[in-house]
Amino acid sequence: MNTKINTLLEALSTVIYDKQPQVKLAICSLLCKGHLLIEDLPGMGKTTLSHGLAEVLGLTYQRVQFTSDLLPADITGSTIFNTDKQSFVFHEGPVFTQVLLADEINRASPKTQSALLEAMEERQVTMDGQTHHLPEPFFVIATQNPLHQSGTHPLPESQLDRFFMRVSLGYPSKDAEKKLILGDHGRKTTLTQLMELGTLSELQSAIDEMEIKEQVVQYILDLVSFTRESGLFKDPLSPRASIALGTASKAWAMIHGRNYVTHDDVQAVFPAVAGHRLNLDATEQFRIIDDIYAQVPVQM
Amino acid sequence: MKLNQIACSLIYLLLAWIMSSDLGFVIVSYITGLFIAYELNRIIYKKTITSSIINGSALAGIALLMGFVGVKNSVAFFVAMMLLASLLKIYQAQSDRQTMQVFVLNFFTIPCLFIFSQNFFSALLVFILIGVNLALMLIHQYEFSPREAIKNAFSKLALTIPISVLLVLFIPKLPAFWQLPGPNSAKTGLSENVDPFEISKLSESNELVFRSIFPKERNVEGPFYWRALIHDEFDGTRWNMSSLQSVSANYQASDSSHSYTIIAEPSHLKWLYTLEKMTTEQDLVATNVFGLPYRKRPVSSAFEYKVYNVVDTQDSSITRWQYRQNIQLPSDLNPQAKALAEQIDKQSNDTAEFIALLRDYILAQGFIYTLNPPISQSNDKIDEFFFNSKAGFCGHYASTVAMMMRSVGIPARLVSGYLGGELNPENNYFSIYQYDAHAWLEYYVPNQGWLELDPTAWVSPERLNGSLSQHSQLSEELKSNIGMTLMGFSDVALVNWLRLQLEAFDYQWTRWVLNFDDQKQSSFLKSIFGEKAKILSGIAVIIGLSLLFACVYWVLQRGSRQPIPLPVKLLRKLQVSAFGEFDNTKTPGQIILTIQSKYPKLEAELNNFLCEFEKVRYGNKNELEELKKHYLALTKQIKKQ
Repeated sequence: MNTKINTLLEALSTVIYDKQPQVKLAICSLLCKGHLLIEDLPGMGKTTLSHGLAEVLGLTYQRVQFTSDLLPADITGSTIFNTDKQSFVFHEGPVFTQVLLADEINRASPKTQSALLEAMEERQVTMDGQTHHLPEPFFVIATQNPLHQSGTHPLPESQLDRFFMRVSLGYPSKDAEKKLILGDHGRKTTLTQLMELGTLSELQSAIDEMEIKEQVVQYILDLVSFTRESGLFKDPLSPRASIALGTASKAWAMIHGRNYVTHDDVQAVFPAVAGHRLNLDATEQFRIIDDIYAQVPVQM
Repeated sequence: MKLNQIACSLIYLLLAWIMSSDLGFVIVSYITGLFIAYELNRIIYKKTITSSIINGSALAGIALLMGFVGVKNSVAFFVAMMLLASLLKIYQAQSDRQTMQVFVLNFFTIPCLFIFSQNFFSALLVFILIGVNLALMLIHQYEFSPREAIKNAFSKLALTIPISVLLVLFIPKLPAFWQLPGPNSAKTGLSENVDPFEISKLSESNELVFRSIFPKERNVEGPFYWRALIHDEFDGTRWNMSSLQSVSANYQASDSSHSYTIIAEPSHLKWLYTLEKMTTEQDLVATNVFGLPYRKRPVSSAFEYKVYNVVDTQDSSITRWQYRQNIQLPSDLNPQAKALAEQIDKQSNDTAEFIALLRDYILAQGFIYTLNPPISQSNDKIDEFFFNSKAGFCGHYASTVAMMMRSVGIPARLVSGYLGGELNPENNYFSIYQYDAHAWLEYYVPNQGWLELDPTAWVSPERLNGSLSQHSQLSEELKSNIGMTLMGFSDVALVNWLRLQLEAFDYQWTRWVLNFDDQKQSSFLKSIFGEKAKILSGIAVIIGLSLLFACVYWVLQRGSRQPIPLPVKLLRKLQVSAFGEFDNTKTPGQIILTIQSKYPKLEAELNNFLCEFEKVRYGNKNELEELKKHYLALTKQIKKQ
């Protein structure tokens, strides 16, 4: 199984240099059928990553640049009167795709944001009483600018919870940046499809069969209940987060070619799964998460 | 600042204060210094106390201790060293393990209080501090909330009370194999050398010295002169003890029933107390040639003995040597007093008349009794007192009269001890406190022997009625000398009642807990099991109870304890062998990674071990052989490096 995932990783690392963990987390999120939130400054390679993912998986790809005047219909589509047929016809919006890059999602008004988030959760769009199903798989990669930038509408906590993971690409290493300057530019490299659609859904269903031992489940429970009982967090983790932690750990183990989940797997995905749900600042979350690790004993 | 540091500092502070005020002073100033250094450091440099501060403080602390406590007072010195060391360690501790070591050491440090004080309140305080220490351990190690921790610690501690009661009652008591030298305490009261003119303020303490328990039916009437020491060597100002004080003599008890019982509080001196010449059946107590009791070892814990009056076999003559000893006097000092003595001697026919004339002289001159006499710079201190200041306490009067008697050839010697005592009417016992310390004299009359004389009583007859605390004229002076204690408020009826109740409680504690010695134990066991089997039955009870406790413990523990699986044990051992301690918040991957950063050469082996560990612990692999193989290879490599 993991040879297929490895080829994906290798291909992606030719366009995104030196960001192996983040790329793995993105794939992890995809394997878990969860949506991904990338919080980063402009120009860090968010588009490259999402584009690359769509290409190697052979999925259809759309990009929407969110602005403050973007309307819900600009995403979901609208019903237009067709004068030839004398009837209303539904025009699919950009959301009808397999990979959607929602760029700078926090620049749009809350109304537009929630239209997208509804589509993400239900995987369908309801317009004038008609339900339109979104294609399978449906994977949203939303990017968001750090909240302190002006003109942003932060996503409400309830909607942040709908994102499976949040990752932050961060600045590239000097070597990687040198490569970029020298013109070996990622966007020019064309990626080819490396995986059939069927393989992806096979992998997705294989996650459920991963071995997870009692003590690892206990560790997830301990971590989650620590966020609830310690009183340090305003928004503790929900049961949805616990489920996400379990699934993500399994996917992470699968990416690493194992059929069992370890404590290290849980710790590897915990910042990405829990960071935004606990409303932590992406740049500072590691310090706080290390504190959590230091206070929750690992029962091996 | 961390809870551990605050709590431990407070514990040490409390201990130091109770152990000794001098020692307390050192520690207090020291801790305050540390607090200030810590706070400044945190505010200015935003970092914790550095090791150079700790080392500097340690050196300064040793210097302070040398200065204030001194090496000679070895027990106090070493206890203070231990307090300081523990204090500094708790600030310096970097790992949980080191902090835990300090907490464990506290179980030794806290009961050290018993070296200095053994009354009920010390026992209560030690109990509470041990509980607090346990609670701190729970908070530190198992992250209990403070409330939970205190509840847990004290409920567990309460369980130990019945067990310790059983142990005290039944475990056979053996004599101590070794004895700790007592702390040298600088207290007023008895001292082996009396120089009343050196003391400007009799800073008396209200510490209990001993209790005397009279049989219920006996009618007790004062005044009580509790004799303790005889000073028969005089150098002009100072009265010293001669070696006779430790020469034992044999006396025959005059009566088969004892006349009273004395429970002496620890004084760290050998000297004991009696009213008249006495003997006792206590093995540890000897009686000297003066008929005074002394203990073969210093009194380091509360000590009880029964006093039997003796047939006075001493003939009424003294040897030439004794005669010379008791009229010996430096010739050149205090000419005025000598002249006066000679003048009175000429007017009188015998010793009794001499005393009467001297008494009349003193009464006519308007001498006063005070606890705060003026201090004299003159060489002739007795002259200064007798003709100028005319104010002093018992020591002044006794010393002066004895000196004057010696100067006219009447053998005289100083006696120090206690006068009076406070009667506790419920239990018919007297409490004698340090402020009851008194000095009087004995003079020798041929054919009559040694007679007692208390010149202080001429000046202040009221002093004879009971304790100094009941002295109407002096009570104000006494209270101001003693300071803020319950004694100081004894005018308030409620406070006095409370004080007497506490005192009665402490009496029972001393009598039944501290003095539960082998004799009392054996009579207790005899009353339960009979004469023959008393020791064996005691041991049998203890063994039986321990077995019972063990069974209960085993039944309770069964099922609740989960064995640690072998792979986890191996990983923990690996971590311990690399870092000396085990950290339960690290995942296997992190443990291996940290070991790897310490031993970079072992990367491959470590990864093999981790891979195998994960397979058996997280996967479905059951064979442990390969894991053990990797483990052995690794430990071998680690040992090599």
